[in-house]
Amino acid sequence: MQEKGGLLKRFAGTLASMRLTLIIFLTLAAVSVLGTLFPYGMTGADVHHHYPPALAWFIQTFSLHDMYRTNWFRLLLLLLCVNLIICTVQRLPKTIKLTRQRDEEFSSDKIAKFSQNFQMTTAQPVETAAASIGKVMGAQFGPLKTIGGAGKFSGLAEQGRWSSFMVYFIHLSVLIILVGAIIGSLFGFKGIMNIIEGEASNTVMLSRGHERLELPFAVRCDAFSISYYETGTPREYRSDLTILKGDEEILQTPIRVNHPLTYGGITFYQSTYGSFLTSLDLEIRDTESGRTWTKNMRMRTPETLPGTTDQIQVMDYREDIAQLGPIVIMAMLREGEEATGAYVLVNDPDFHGNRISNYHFAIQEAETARYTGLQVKSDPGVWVVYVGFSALLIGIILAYYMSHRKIWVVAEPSRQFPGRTQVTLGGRANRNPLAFEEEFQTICQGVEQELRASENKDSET
Amino acid sequence: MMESSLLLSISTFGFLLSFVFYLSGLVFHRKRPLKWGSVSAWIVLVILTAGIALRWIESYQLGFGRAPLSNLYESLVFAAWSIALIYLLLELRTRYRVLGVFPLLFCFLAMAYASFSGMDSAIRPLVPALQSNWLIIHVVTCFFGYAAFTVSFGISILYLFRAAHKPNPHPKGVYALLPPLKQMDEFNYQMIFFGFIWLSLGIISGAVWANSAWGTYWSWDPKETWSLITWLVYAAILHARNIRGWRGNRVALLSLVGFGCVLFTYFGVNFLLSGLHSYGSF
Repeated sequence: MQEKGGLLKRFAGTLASMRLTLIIFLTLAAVSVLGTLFPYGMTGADVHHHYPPALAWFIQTFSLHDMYRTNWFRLLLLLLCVNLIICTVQRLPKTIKLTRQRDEEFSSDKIAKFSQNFQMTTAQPVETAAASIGKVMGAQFGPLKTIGGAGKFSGLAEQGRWSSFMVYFIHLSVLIILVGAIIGSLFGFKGIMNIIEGEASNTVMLSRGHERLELPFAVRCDAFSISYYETGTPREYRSDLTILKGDEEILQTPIRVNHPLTYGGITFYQSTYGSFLTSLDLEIRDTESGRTWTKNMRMRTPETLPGTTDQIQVMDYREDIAQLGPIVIMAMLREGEEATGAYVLVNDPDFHGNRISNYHFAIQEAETARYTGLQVKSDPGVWVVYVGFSALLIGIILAYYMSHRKIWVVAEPSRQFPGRTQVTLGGRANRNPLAFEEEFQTICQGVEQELRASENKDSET
Repeated sequence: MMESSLLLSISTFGFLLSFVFYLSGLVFHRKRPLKWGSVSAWIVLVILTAGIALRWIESYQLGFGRAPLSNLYESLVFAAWSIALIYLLLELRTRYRVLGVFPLLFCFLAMAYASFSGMDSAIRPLVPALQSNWLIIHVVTCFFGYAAFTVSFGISILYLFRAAHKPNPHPKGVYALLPPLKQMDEFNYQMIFFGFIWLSLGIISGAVWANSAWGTYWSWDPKETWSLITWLVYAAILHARNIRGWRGNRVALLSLVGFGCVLFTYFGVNFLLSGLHSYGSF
């Protein structure tokens, strides 16, 4: 039982250790390197096509082509969160205790050994000297508290006590970002809508799982246009959209790349464009028998050739492939055989490649319609993520500029020069010693000037 | 129409000259060449600033005003500018001039690569994806981060050399003018932290931009992922130093690793991996 407790304790200790944090950081970095080596979003078939079998097996086993969505990657992120939370729970009480700690009093000998230190003697008595120093410190650094007395003055001033909490603020912001990401992935969606010019649609094709989503309103694409610079490079892609509820036009607005439209918590981004095939007049010639047919084809609608059992179908339409102009991808299904396909050129009916088996295809007319491709997304977590971003930035910047700085002051009768007062200043900072050195030196110069000035005033009177 | 490219050519050679001054100051432990290096670097920085500003103005004269931060050529020029600026500010603050050797070398290399590798230096209009005010914020913040890490790399190299000859630095040896090890370590930490702030700003501005342009603040695009890798490496350095008390050699070595990541994020991703940031590769 005791051993078990010890093990648990050790496990908790490991989870809370800084070593684990460093290991997670570097592991995350290392696996991300692996992830970028294999293009993200490849399908399993792509992987086998591109890499030798052994490597492909390795990639598939660990889902390296889709790593960021795998459970082991999520587990790594979860481990980071747990580590972060446990570290905070363990360290926060210590930090609170430290900042609440009663101010320690040091002897002048000890202060004189601090990394920042200063010593001088003055003719002023202890109380007057302490008051002068307090005045300078109050103006240039912070109020000087008395922390000891009895024949001497012992004081402490500090700045940036709260900077020790900055690190918790930063860690909290990282957790907020991750929470926002989780909210987004649970309650948000992402997909595409291809809308033909002049038509309306309310169906989003989700990017995950080939699912469809019906929006509570429809989007109509009134027009899609591209404008060009004089050099011929594209200047602007623009879709004029109308939001429809039933027959009612709710909103009419153009969108461009970088200028999306948000309606009802759903944002529409200009993403792509292209053409759909709406109807195709096709002449089919059987090169063996010499018979010909003419058919009006629709996308993905199979047609049986009269007198045969062979079925043909339009699979896809592409605007431009390898500068051959528009093409239609045809497929033929013959009983007892596997389906076969071919690229058929729209602009070149006599092209010898326009054939499958014994059939030659000649396109007489292809009717197309232009569509705009919209990226559609809803992410209720994005504002949480943005809050996390802002907190992270504020935290890091404050952590850089703020540090906990303490200056101890002792004024006591000098042992070396009887009748004079020895003044000792010592300073410590938990960060940015360079800046603190400058600050400390300025304060010491101020103290020296103030004490000398009051000495002179005394000697004049 | 050609004024900006003339100023940029002058800057290239100016940085070379400045680097030679810094290097001879370090090697011959003389303060005078270091001073010349510093003065010339400031002059070149002014010339380069004028060159970049002119290029901006010229884009307006061509009829499509846009910030000169949109392709590899312009980003290299801006990288040189940021490295020079951040190094010179550090120099002002620390009053040590020997640390300028590597930063100025990188300024020269960036400019030379931009000028002599035959890459397209013409001022071209922005493709629709880059037409956004976020472009300036995103590029400037990222490159300030890269520049700070470059300066940190330079300090780390000098630190490692100096630490290897610690027992008895010859009073007139190569390392005579270098700051004490403890101080170099402190400068290095400052630069890493400073760069970390800018890199965070760069990544976050990129995420916010991506969200407003494409609807995703994070899409694991190779450039994004590599910038996160870089961020993690530097975050590891900061944690190791603050909590585990790592100092000196270990921090310097990790800074070299971090700089390797910076280089890969900047160049490697463009040339070896494909993704959303393909504007950077031509």
